[in-house]
Amino acid sequence: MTIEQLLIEKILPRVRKPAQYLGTEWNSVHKDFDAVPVRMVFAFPDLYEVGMSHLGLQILYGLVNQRENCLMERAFAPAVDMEAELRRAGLPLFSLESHRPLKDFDIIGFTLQYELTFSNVLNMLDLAGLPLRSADRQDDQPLVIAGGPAAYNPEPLAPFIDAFLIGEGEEAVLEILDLVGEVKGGKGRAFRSQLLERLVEIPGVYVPSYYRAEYTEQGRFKGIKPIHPKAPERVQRRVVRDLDTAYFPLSQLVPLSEAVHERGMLEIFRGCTRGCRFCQAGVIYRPVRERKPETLLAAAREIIKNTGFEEISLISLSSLDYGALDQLLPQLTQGCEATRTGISLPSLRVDSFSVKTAQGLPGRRTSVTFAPEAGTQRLRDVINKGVTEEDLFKAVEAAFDAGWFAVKLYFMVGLPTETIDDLKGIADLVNEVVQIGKSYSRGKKRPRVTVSASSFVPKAHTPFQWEGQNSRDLLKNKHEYVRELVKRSRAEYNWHSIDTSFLEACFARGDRKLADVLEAAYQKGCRFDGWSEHFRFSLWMESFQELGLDPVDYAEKSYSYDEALPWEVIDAGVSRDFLIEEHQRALAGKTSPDCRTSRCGKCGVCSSLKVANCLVKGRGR
Amino acid sequence: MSRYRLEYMKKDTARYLSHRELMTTLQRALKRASFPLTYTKGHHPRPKLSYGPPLGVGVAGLREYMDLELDRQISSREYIQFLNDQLHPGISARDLVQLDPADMGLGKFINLACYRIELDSAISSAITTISWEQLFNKLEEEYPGLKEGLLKWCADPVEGYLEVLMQVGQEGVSLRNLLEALNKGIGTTVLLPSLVTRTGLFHLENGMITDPLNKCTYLL
Repeated sequence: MTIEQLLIEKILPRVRKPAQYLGTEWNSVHKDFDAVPVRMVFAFPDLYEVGMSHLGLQILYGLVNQRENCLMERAFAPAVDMEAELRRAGLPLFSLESHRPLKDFDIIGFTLQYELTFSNVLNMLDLAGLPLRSADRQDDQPLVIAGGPAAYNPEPLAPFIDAFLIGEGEEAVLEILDLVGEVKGGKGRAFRSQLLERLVEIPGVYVPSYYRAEYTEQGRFKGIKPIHPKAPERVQRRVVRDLDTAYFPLSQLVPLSEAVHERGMLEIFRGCTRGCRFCQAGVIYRPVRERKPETLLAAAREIIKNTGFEEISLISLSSLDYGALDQLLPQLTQGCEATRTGISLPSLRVDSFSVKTAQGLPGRRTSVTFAPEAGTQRLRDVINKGVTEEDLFKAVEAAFDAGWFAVKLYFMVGLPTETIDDLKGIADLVNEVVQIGKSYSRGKKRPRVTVSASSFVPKAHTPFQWEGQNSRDLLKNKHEYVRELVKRSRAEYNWHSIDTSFLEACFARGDRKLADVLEAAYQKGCRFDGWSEHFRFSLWMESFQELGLDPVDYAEKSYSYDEALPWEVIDAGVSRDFLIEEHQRALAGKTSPDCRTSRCGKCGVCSSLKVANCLVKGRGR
Repeated sequence: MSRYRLEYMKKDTARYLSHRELMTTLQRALKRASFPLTYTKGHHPRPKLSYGPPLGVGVAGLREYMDLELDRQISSREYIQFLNDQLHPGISARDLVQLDPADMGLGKFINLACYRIELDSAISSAITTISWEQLFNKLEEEYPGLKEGLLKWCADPVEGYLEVLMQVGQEGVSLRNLLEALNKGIGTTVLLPSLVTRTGLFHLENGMITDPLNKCTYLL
């Protein structure tokens, strides 16, 4: 029996949500596998329902499959029941479109959305029947590459991945595929050793085996040195200069089995220069590149026609900042009328303008979410979140006025310089929001106010990369303190698992030594660490202990400016001096301007990457 | 306003879609096929569609139905083609007829379903020790609700299938219960929904059986 027959007859009847393994989604591309010279599988190390909502997958899938000589298929992390069935039947992990083993592809490309999917990367390699470590894989086995935001600190995955692609993939992925096609010639498979020799020449590609991590005698990290003549000292990220003409998928995959977000995706711009100092996305996607409203309107029409989605979402890091909203929204609303397509904004800015804008859009209205992030003006200045108390209250009022009956507020606990006043400040803000809500009560029913609090995780390439995370005990006390206060105003308080944030912090700033910990934890059975029902913290702690590494040191350590940092082999474009200055301004409670609307903040991205903000309405310099 | 009834098929790998997944899939296909759907009013407009009794995950259906309201009259032949161009492998539109305003909705109309269960050799040999007759008698004792709802059954051991005619929408009467009862009776776990095909849905009244497109009438 072929994999396909086994799957359909024996396995699908026994697993939950079998439709996610069929691969027959509308707009999925099924090419003649054996007739296409270069084949890549996009491996998403999380469940189908998460991966199918991911814009990066849609972009690369459409882009690569447009090419006649290439194909891209998909593989997601199989759910736990499916994994058990595969292992029991001795079947390898397969791609969804042609149900081929991952081993049959030239390239397996992982996207790393965040650190807690790393154990799934190992699991997928293992299910594919490949040795976990690059060094143990045979030369003619598939090339394993990885990209995405968590690749900006690639070190904890260094021994498992042949090459990382740092930055935006639209151009670089095609260069990689072309190269694989060329090296492969008419043969069955290109040798990895030959491929890597050439791949290292592509800008943005980091080949970890061409580098050595060095340590002092005390075991402190000293730096990463190239040990191959072609390997650059630092790998600079890729960036697409002109987003308006860049490829964008108009025939997006329509999930068969329910996904987290089921909607057409319209990326209105990329990059955010607001400069929140904890935010990695704000650094790694700079500069701001807006698409023209006419481009977007034409794209929206096609997406709706090609997918039949009920809703289209205007995607970006802060969609309300788009320069031509006044042009785009009325026309888009009109264009959506006939098909009753809803329009959604993924996040609202904390001001009444955004609320009024969102109010005018067609579509479902559930709750409205604002992210003040911190409880006092002082701390909001520290993190450079340009939001005032007044902004928030006005936004909330506008939301209740507009008929929303549920408000969600996002905060972060454990931020640098935080004091008990800042924690109290969260409760005070929440209380004020609840009070505002009271005058909008419907009979005895008051509007619902929910607080969602996460714990600060220091991320590589941000001004807070030198800051340690609060200890787990301290974070627990802080969350409990705020929860008690918030409960008095009868708002709901939810907080993310502290153990999870702790592990995320270890890996976010981890070095190559963590690879052993990851492998050990995976061997003990860790999977889906981002899912509370699967997260097994004790196995992680055991793994750290067995390898003689202290996780507390990784998560809580504050670095000094003169120490080398493991992720500095990656050049994200912003200068070290800028990050240091931003860090110091943070500690001094000084805010910095947004170069989209104000003067240049000299982050260094435009000069080092030879790019510039690209704004549809322009801006005087 | 015009009401139409669509007859469609869900088979092959599409049998693994849940009812909800199938509803979403059909709705999006109708949109892509430019059906002039009538929407509900309000902030969250939805097309006015109603579906026949749900088919479980894994169960195929040869003659399934949905009712749709449209803003205007359409050519059935043309629009079946449009729809089929937009449907996934395994799902296909078979027929589309305009309903009379007085016609009953699907929910009220359908009260009878016919299922065909494929039997593999393991079952056929297990069944030699206990006859189908005995099995169904036993089943009727243990599942009184099921007995009520089960109108007819017929086993064809040579061709390897079992066919049952069951009432729809009555308590305790479901394919799931039937499979559970059969598995228990035979002492296996191999009768899975993926071996089942719903071959038809009907209206039973006064001993007469009518199909939802009103094309045939039979005597029970």
